[in-house]
Amino acid sequence: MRVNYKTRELQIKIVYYGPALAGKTTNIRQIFNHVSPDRRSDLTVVDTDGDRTLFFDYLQVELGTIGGFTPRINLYTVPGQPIYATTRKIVLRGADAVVFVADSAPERADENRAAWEQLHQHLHALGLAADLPIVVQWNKRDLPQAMPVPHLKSLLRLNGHYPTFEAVAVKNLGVRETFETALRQVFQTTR
Amino acid sequence: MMKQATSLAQTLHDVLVRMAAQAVILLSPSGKIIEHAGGIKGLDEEALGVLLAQSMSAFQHLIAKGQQQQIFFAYQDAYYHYAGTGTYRSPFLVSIFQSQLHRPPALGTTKFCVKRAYNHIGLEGADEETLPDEAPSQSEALSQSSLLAVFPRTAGADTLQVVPDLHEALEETAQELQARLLLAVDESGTVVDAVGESDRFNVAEIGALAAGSLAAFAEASALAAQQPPEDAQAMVVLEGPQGVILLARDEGPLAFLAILPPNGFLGMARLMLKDLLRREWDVVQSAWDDFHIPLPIEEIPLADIWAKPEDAA
Repeated sequence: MRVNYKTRELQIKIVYYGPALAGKTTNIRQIFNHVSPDRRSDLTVVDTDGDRTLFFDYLQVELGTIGGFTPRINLYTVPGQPIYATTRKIVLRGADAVVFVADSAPERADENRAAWEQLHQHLHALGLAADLPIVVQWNKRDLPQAMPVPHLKSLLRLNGHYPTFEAVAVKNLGVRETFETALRQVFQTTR
Repeated sequence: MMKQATSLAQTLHDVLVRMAAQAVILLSPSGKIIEHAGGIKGLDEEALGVLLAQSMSAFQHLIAKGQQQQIFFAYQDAYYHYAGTGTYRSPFLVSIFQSQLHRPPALGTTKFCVKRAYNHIGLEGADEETLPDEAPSQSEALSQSSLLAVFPRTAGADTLQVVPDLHEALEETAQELQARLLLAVDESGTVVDAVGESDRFNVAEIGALAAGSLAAFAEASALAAQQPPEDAQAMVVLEGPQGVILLARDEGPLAFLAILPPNGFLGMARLMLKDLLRREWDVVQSAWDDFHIPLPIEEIPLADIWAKPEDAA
């Protein structure tokens, strides 16, 4: 978290991380759609042909004041495809929290685990591994064959270390809870 | 839109010779290599292509929304140089130099060659229908003096960085350059300080784009020059009909972005941004002790950010 004393702002960076097509951009779009327009920026999308994220998506949300300071929450997504490993590390720089969006589809189990492991490799390389808040979202819970949550937890070897939420991001289910928990974790870590 | 592959290869080879480059690469907007001439031994061209495409796409967001033509250059004085030009969402032309072997041509020469190559390739004139609508920009003047600090993650465990002279330095530089906007951005993309204002830009957005694009370019530069990315310096010049944007970074904590009017003092701007990069900003510990915001979880004002159902987009 960064504090600007003269403009009385708190700057917070939250990165949505996860395998390709897990729903990271969908989360950000839902936040964009459901936050009051006077409390958010435009949605910046650096994509290829209007669908797959090429670099990152960016959205700024402004909270009400805390102690006379205005928190500005900077939300980023990363591109999920394996070829963008370096890019994900770039976007993680300076993060205050990470939301890991996992795909509940059984055929995406390996991608989930690979992305989770790579996230921790990047955080370690960036010196962020020790106490960076991470919130895990099990997305696409409406899939008929969705993996059971205990199985997903076992897949990522979570052991209760991180808050988790079930979500159907395309229907805006679980998006708000995930975002708010990540934000609370940032303030908890800072205290 | 593109000419035949043989013609394209010949054109790229011609550019390679004229620019004394080691490699000239034509990339798709997603980073796929369409055609190339020359090469660098041991270079992972696929990874380089992706990084360059990302940095150049972000550059285009900075300057080119809805514009037909722009030229942009990105280079490192010591190691590496590339240039590109295109229309929004058209393929990118990239030239790569390594100055240990080839002295990069002057900016004007580079610009001429790239324009000429682009015309030969026949990629000018992007399809208007593919251009996105320009999003309404928010004017966010941050002309007040500002002082930035970074919370330690564990209270009291770390020092606190502040940059007390930054604003004064930015004001002096902006005045000297007649810059419309001058930003200092940290590695997270946060705008640490800014002077001036522009109705065309959302300051927070260009901070994010600048940090991201410079970081991607530094990674690409490191890849091409086969050196650690933390040593990578970058100076990027974006030129459009309405002005010039300079971005600069090195291994220090801050990157800088200057928006100059058309025909601005480009040479002087490069020198002055380098001067900003060379300075060591003060590190002060006392600011953390002065900062006593009560942050009980229940008081984080989250509920009032959400639109009422009837207001939701």
